[in-house]
Amino acid sequence: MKKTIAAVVMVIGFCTCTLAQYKNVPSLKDETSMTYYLVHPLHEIESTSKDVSSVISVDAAAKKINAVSATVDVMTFNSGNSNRDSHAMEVIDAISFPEASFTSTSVSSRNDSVWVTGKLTFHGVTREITMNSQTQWSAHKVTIHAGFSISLTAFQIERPALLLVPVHDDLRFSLTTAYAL
Amino acid sequence: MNNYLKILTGFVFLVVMTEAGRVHAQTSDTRMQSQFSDGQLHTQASDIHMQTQPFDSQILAQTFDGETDSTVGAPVQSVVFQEDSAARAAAAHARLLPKNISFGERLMWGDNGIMRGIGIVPALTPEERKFELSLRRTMLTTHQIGGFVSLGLMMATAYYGQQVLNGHRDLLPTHKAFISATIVSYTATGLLSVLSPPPLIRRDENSTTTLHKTLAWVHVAGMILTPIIGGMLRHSQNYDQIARFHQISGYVTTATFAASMIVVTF
Repeated sequence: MKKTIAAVVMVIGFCTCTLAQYKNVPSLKDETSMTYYLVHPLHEIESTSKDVSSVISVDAAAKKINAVSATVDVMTFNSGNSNRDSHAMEVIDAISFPEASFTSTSVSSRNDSVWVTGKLTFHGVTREITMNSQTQWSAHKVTIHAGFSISLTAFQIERPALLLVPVHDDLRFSLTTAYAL
Repeated sequence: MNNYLKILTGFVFLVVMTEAGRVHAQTSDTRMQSQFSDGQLHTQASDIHMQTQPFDSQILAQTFDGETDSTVGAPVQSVVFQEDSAARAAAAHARLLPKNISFGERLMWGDNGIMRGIGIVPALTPEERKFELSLRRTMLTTHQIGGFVSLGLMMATAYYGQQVLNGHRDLLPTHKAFISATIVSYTATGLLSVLSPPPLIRRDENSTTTLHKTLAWVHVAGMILTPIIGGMLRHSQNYDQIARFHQISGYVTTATFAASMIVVTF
């Protein structure tokens, strides 16, 4: 019986030590940005926000990430044309849903490639997505370049139109975040 | 054996406490000036409060495929963002109207604008602003349709005007009918844009929309000048010269109007 208790305590101790390797690290604001790419038959629109906040749970020694959260103020996206950005905010109802957020549910990795699956909440709709990411580790920093795409229709967003022609349904995102270790 | 258990338990406790202190120290030293207190990670740089949830059951249940070297089964700390509702509400109201709306827009649609003053629209609230943005979209979509219609009418007017100048005087009534239709369509199209509620975002920038609006000043001037010069033809003793001015003014106005439509597609 005592051996069993000892074994259980040791397992708990091992798990606790494992936990101890992970810490939550917020993103470096100056090195974090998110860009979306929207395609219209007449041209492609590229709009970037630097107002992205993100936190990862990371084991710096083992170079492992096991949880990611991020949020972005949707009204901070800038395509260089505020009229166009305003139109985009209308269709995603930025007054009711001023932020888009992501919380990971699983993270898997192989070498510098990381696949992050999680819940993306955008336009008040939550859908599961998977991001394909590349990590760059240095002594004091990890930088993540991630990309994913969503369907506007899946997030119940009416496709905006220019000269009565709507944009494509596919909305592509790229995300760059850096974290001080 | 009991002593062994006590030592082991003490070791586990020590590891947990040490780790908690280490996380606190390292996190508070980040460039975002974050710090833990009362279980919350406060991040000054982003004005967003992040609450840690150690041992989140949802994330513990994560699954992986067999080929990865990820942290299978490792206990993790997830992070979720928590809104400060009061601060958010105040910030949200401040963002309902852009700071740099024009004098005319403020006069019409501002917090104390004419539209609210005489009761055509209610006080500015998020719901009301959503309605106004919907109205704006309808007006601007109609503005785009009106642009196509006006351009067509303008080109027809120019065509029949050219025919009259070429000697087909019998087409003058048709030319005049198209002039009237163009003026009505053009004015309605312009008013749909000018009177629409302000956008949600407006920055000081040079964009295709800026060029669209700049060209509008040119074709507005043309739309005023061209019919005035045309009216001068009736009693002019220098018919050919006035007709030439009228012709150039009409073509320049039509071309500028077409250009203002084309630039918004870039």
